[in-house]
Amino acid sequence: MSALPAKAPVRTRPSAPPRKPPAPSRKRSTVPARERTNPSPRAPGRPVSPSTSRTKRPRKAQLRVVKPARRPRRSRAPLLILSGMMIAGLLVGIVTLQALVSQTSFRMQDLQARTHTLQLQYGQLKAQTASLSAPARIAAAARRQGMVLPDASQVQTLRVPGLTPAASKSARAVVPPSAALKPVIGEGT
Amino acid sequence: MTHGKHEAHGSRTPRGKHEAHGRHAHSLHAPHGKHAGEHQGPAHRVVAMFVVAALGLATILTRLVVLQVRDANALASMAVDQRVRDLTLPAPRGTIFDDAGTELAMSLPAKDVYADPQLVSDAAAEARTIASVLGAKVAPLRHLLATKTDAHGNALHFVYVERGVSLSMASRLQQAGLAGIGFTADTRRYYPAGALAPQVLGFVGVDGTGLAGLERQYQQLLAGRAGNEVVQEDPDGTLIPQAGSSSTPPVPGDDLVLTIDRDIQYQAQEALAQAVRSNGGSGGSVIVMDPHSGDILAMATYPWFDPNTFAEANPNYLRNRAVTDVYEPGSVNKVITLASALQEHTVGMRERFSVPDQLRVYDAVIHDDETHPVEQMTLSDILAYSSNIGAVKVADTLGADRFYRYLTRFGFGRTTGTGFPGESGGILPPVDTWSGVSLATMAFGQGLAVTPLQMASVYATIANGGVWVQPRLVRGTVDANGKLQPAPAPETRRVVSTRTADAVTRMLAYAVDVGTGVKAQIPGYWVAGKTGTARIPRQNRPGYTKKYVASFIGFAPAAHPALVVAAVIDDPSTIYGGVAAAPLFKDVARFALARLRIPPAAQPPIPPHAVSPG
Repeated sequence: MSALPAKAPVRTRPSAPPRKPPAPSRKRSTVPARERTNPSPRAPGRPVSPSTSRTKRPRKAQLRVVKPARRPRRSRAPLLILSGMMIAGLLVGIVTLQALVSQTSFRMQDLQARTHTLQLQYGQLKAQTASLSAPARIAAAARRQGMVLPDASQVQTLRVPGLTPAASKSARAVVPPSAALKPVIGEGT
Repeated sequence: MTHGKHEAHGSRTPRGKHEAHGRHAHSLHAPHGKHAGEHQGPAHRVVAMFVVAALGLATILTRLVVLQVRDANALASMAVDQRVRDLTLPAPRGTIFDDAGTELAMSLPAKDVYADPQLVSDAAAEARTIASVLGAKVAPLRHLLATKTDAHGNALHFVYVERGVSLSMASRLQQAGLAGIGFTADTRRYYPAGALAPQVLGFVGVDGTGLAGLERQYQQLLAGRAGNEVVQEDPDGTLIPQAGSSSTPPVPGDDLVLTIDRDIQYQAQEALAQAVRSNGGSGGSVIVMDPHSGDILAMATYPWFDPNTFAEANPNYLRNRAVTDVYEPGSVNKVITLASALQEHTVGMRERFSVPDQLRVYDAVIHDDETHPVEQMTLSDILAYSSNIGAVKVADTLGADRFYRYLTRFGFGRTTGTGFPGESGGILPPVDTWSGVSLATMAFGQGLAVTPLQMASVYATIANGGVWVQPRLVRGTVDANGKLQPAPAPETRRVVSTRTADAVTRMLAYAVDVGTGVKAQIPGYWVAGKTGTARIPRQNRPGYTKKYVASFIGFAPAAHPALVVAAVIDDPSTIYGGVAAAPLFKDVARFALARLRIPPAAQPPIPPHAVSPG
């Protein structure tokens, strides 16, 4: 942009009375004189005072109305590129965010399904454990191996100081282990 | 512009130029030229195109209005129906644990299998496949699948094939890919120990409602509260991300922690079944109870059933007869007669009664079990040798009103308060309706009826120093946070003094030591107890059958009672409680003492007696 004035082949300046301050537009004019055929006294940013017009009128023949110099335009390409990049970035960001959210959502679904599967397995294993520890099954398995229940008269229980029957009973009065997991498992235990 | 176009056409060929010019001309000068008729063609086409476009737009607009305005609500509703699922989240039913925290009843995920008969292509083939997987009969299934209308002629679109099917079975059926067969999620109740305390636990119907036992009693607590979830799904059933959903999680049912000890329960059942079979009885009951806390450690009723297949069981086996059925207790009731008299000081421990082997009371003649000459007996002798005449004489010292009052204070005539479904309060006629012989017969346990649990509570009262403790089956509940909420403290009331209870305990221990209950003795522990042999009354008319109920109720160790055991056998071939029921008591009590690690205790002091042992 700054190179444009230097390329101007001709720069004509009308001679003006020294007392008159040069018009701001002329000072900054960078357009060749031959193109200045369509003056635009009301060009924006160049107010022309009435007194100035009056003073020019007698010398009209000597003067040539010049076309107001075109303001050097700065290229909009960087702005457009920047804007385009920003919009593209935003679009990519939004799409990426949506993709991430969807991906997370699907992953949550997978995890929920896996949790559900594990809960089912946990329940099945609990049932299996309870079945395997059932007294009837253990007694039958023991009988198959030739075991017999001992005669209770052969079992001697000794009175141990500090361990009363009441104490041993209260020791059993605890929360069942699987019931204690209720808040962790989140479902029926 | 037009001119330029004209020139462009004219530069091709003269004909083209002419035609192009002509077209152009009449489009511009049609009203004035001689080719007006030719010039109307393009105009008409434009108009026609405009009309067609207008009509098309109007059609689109109309359709738009129809879709967006008239049918908007319906279509929106349809769209919602297609993608929104309102799912009911069933609340997991609570687990029932035994005293040690082992599962006795639990819920497992399952599937309900249903059919749309309209979509079933080959009912016979599908019925065979389903029957082979489920182990069911083919014919009913075939009929179910082939029936396409209901009784009113309406098309059937939904019938249950089977409910509560295990996941493995459902998976096999799903793999078969049967037309018109569908599956829905459900749960099924599972009793991992099988026929262990089935009458106590009860069972649950296919709709998840407790139908009997504790399952029914604690239905509201166990069932929990169902939740729901509203989600949006695509046609494949995949949740649509960020589509919004709302969820009310289900509240799981509370767990029950019972007082039942699984091992003692099993051993009680085994011993009961063995005793009933060996004595040729028709059934029986066993109760093991902690006399201090009222905790019931075992409650068995024979015959029993497997609650996993309760629908196939004999309905008569479903009742918890230890709680729901009553019987005339017989001689085990003498403990109330003696305790009441001692408490009221109408008799003394050293007082001797002249006891013949029979006695007329009004219009009835009461006999002792064995003939004997008139004997001098103390209270201990009366109890040890189970003299009916002696008990009648002791009851005479009390009178009907006082005896009735003690019967009620020991818990007769009302339920124990366990709240068990169908619990009976027994039969205790009001004292003002008693006949002349009522006091006499009730003194030795005939003319009134109790449940085995009521009778066990009487002996628990003596074992607990004269304080009646309400029996209980539930120790506490576990809430959704895994916290154990202990059951309310059992109701208690003093019935007799500690001194009276100790005196009765000594007499009961003496009865086992030298009297009718010797077969119940456990060496080292000194059992205190009493035999009972009572006739079974006729149904719906006065009098008795020739059948008996044999029982033995006692506690051990006599000096420091730790548990009470009641053993009752219905209609044994050997009618005497001392023969049929006492060994059963011994088997159960001995195992329970070892299981609970109850140490032996010293023999209680021998009470005053007049009859020489042996």
